[in-house]
Amino acid sequence: MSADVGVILAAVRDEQGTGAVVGTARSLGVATGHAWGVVRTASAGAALRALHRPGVVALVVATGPASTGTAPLGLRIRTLVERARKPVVLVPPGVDPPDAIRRVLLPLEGTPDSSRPVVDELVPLLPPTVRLQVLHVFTPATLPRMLDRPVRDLEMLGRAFTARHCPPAHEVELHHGSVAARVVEIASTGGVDLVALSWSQVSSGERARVVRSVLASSPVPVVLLPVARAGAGGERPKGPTGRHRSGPMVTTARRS
Amino acid sequence: MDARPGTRLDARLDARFEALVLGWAGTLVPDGRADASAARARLEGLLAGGVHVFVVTDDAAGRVDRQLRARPRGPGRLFLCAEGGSEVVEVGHDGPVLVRRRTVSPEEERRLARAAALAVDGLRATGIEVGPAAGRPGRRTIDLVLAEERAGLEGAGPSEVLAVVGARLRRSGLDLRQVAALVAAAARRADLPEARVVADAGRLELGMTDASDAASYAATWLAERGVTGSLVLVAGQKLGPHDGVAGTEGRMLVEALARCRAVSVGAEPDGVPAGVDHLGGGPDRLLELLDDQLDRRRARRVPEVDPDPRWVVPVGADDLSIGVAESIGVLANGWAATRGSTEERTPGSSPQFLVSGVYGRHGLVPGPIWTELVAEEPAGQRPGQPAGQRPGQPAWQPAGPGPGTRAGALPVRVLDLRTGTLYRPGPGIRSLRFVSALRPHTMALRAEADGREAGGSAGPVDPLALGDGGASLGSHDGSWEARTSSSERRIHVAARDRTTDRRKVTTVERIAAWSTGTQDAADGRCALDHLGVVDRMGYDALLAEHRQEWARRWGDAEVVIEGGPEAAADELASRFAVFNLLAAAADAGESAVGARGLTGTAYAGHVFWDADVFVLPALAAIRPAAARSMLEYRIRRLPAARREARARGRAGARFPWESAAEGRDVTPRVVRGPRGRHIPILTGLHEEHIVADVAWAAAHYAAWSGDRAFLAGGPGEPLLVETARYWASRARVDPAGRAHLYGAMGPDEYHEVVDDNAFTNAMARWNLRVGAAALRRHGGVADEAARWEQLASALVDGWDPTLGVYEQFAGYFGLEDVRVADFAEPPVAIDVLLGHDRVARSQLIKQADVLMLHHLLPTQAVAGSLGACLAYYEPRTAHGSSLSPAVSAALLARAGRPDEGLALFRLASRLDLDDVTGTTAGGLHLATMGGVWQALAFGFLGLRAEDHWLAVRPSLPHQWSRLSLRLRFRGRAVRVAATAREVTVDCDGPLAVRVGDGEVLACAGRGVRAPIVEGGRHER
Repeated sequence: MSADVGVILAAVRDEQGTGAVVGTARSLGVATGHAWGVVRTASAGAALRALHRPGVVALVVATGPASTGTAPLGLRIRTLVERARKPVVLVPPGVDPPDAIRRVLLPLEGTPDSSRPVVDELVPLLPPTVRLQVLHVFTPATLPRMLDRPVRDLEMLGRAFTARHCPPAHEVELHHGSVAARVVEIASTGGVDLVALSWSQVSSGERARVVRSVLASSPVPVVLLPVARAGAGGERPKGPTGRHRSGPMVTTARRS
Repeated sequence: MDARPGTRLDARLDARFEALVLGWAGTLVPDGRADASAARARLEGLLAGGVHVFVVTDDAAGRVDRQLRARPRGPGRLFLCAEGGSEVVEVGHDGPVLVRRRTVSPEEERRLARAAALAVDGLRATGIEVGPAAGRPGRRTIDLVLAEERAGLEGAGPSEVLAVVGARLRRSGLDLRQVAALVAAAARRADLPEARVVADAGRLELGMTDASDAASYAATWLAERGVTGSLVLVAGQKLGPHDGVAGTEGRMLVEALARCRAVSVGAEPDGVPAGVDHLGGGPDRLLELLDDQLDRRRARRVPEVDPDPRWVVPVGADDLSIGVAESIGVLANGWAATRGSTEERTPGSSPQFLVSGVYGRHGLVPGPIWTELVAEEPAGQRPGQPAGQRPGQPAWQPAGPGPGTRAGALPVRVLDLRTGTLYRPGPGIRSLRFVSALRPHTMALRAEADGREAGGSAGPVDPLALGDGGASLGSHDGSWEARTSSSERRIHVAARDRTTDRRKVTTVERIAAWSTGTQDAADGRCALDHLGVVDRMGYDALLAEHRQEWARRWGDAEVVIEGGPEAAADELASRFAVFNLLAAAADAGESAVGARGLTGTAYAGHVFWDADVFVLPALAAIRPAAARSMLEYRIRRLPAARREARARGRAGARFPWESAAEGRDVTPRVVRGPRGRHIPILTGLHEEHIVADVAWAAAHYAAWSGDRAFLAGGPGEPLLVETARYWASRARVDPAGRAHLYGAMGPDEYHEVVDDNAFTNAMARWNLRVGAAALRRHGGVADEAARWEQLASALVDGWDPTLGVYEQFAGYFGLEDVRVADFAEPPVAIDVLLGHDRVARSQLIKQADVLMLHHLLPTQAVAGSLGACLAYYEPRTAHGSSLSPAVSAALLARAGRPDEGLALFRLASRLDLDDVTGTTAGGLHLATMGGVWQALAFGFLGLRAEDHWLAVRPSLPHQWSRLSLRLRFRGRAVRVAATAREVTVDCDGPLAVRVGDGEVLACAGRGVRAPIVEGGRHER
């Protein structure tokens, strides 16, 4: 292991969910070329200290049996993810660890804040062989005003979206409706090994509803990427090195 | 003759001029007797470089010619505008030739004499002593210098003369301006309101012309060659006023030369008008300026564009993507097009060179990219170098922004609609490129990099950049050659580069030519042959003829909208649309005009009804030959259309929904959806109204162009007959004797397969009738014609007399009755918002459908149904298609709701400029642009081609005080202008015009005016 190889830590407290957490950390380690390890922690503070140690790339934790419904984040997990300055991978209860990371679902809302952590923090960790599948659920600001030939126009819109918000993406899907429902729907149809969500690290009140809803139903681990950690505001996200492609494959559900 | 070392030019003069308008004595030469050889040498040099020169003088042309003794061979042209604007003489290699003379009639002479006498009397009555007016033909001079003053003023300059005369005038309680006003008033009293009064220091001149006539002549002559505003240098020695009265030379600053660079090399004691630079220095200073211009020509410096805000579109100045900027910056000539990519390679950029009709398996084939230049590495940082670029990086290949970056990160460029050029003003790299409007196979680019501060030299040049699968064919005698290799038909491009280093400015000039074909060697030779011809002409000559051709095109297509800043924005957006329409199709051969033309590869360059129904009607009026070439594309694909019909068990010809090179249906049948799901596309199977649309386009072209031979036994006739034959075999007659078209799709694609779509049925009915008429006209089978007519009469069209509207298709009225506003503000892709199935169950529609019937067949719709159908369908229309807003705008105007129409017009006219659809990066929406022109012509001006006249029924929005269109109608050049009160029609030959419900007026080569009467503004 070279000096600059980092570590992906599986943080376990007891036997609950240990297999899934460790398995997820192992798969991530293999996919990213980092080492993986296990740290036993009983508190959020200890987990944070472990995460913020030099060389640690990300922390994998289970969300625990209480993490269901609309408030899936228990106090320990909430404390952890709200204070983390690095990616935290949450493994919901009952989720099997991916045997490998082949495809990552990247729901993006079409703002720099949403895109920057994905492009700056997550994508550089992943080798080009991992397929990056962007999902954009139209917002009032991004809902298309005209579609002359819907399938082909949406394909153009998808290409423009990824060019602007996630150049390294391999695929993009454009949808309308509930973000969380679409994320879970796509993650459930198979082929997705990890969902990546940028978030503002505020989970109180009405904030982070998408994060909470996805965690409540996601069939695969979810990595939370702190928005504040990523580069300075207003700058263009940099594409990862080694990812040279002609453009994303765009798929939609509409006829022309 | 380099400029004097150390001479620093004013920024406004740090430019290349295409024309000079110069005073003579005191400006170009010291006086009327001086040696003019220095001026002659400069002028002949500039004329040889293509600069046009107008010398403006009060002297006689012969006298100036004898003094100047220039005998230029061109290509620049030399004119002597003599005798105070009354005479224009062109001086060529063989000497002077009279071009124009303002002859003063005996009656005008009589009035001039009377005006002068009245002026003298009036002046004396105020106590000002003047002598009798001196006379020469067309001119009277009132000398303000008294005999006793004259001796003391011998040899005095203008300011001294003015001081003496002014002091005396003031003692009489007047100044020179008041005296001039008195003379002008005398002219009006003598019935010569158009007489000109100009002042010199010691005299007033009353005449029928002055220098403004000379300048106006020059401005008009130059504008016809695309040379305007800042491309013109005006120089004089007394441009300022004389005691408040404009002097002779000051009259050169006419409105038609607005934005020109004006300088005075005279003393100008009273200062110069705003916008004029006072240089002083006399003729010597002017000669320095001319030397600088000569030097710029020799150095092949980049020409400029006139930054007229009514004609230039900024490219990349907004927050839109690079791709959008590249689409907006497209240059095309109907045969080929180049996207507006920068000269340096930029990540995220999509440079493309496309040739009409060259399709590969996946659509239009991108050809070799001829616009990329790559410089040698400079020694250090250059001015204008992008931030972050390190010394040593190529100045012309800067570290560009990444993919998806906003165009704002690119250099802002200027698309000059007037001259069809894309100009990059710098700093750093400056360039100007064009795709020749006159020579289909020719393109040219000139670029320069200022290396003064860097001390290095930027230079070219890579061979032509290759598109996918391209191949470089190397160099031959200094020219580059490349071709595509990914399709059966190949695009060859050959180019020759020239580099000039002069005064630390490196200039690269590239002239390129293209050809297509399938046999490498022969076709490559063809491109090289083209290149040989145009390379000999040179960049400047090619640019000059290109500008002139665009000026000529605009002469048949100009749009003027007046009424304030918003109207000016509407005008510019309209001109942008017309510019791209004028460049969309060739004026010979055939033109396959795809939905995005040649401005991008969206939809693979396929040809839809967009071409026939939206683009063609505009071109039929503004460039009829191009409309004809679009029809030629359909004519040549009749065999394929017949095969398509036969394959479906029908007769006649079935034009496909999407067409490419061969004319077979290339509409995708299925696309891959999310996670591999297959989604059927039904338009190719069911959107058959295109069959009638093609016939309609042929008839529309014939009606507007007057090319009746095209249909009457001509090549267009089968378009009417074979399409009618198709409908005859397609319709089904029910037991009650009513005919139906089952399983069709109208323009509203939210409802995919319906029965008896009103628009389709009405178009088919019209098609059957015109087909039958064509059959009868040429001795076709009478039985067949009768059968078609009977079938046409039996075709249902959904008219509901109870509601007074057409039902869009059978069963439409039974669908969920909702409005778009219940869910969102249009325009909106409401199928995305609500889901396809939900929308299909509702009355929400994507675009005008029934209303297209009113748009295309206004006389076929039930009289008076337009207003009711608009009231019914407009609230249900999402305008989720780029084709929709302009058509609705036209119809709203026709229905007397122009202000509502204006809102939709603006949406359409800004569609690409604002990237409303988010897909402009894939190319410009040409059909929308055609719709914009149609909204102006058929909507707001209410033009219609009637059998025997041009009908005009204007309906202007309140924000527009005047709308004027130039167009061609049945062989005549016509200009129709409307205000709220009246219509003016100018034409170059006999033409019958009817305004509203008024009398038919004869416009016999001169304009006619007609008031707009109440009730005649819109359709009833």
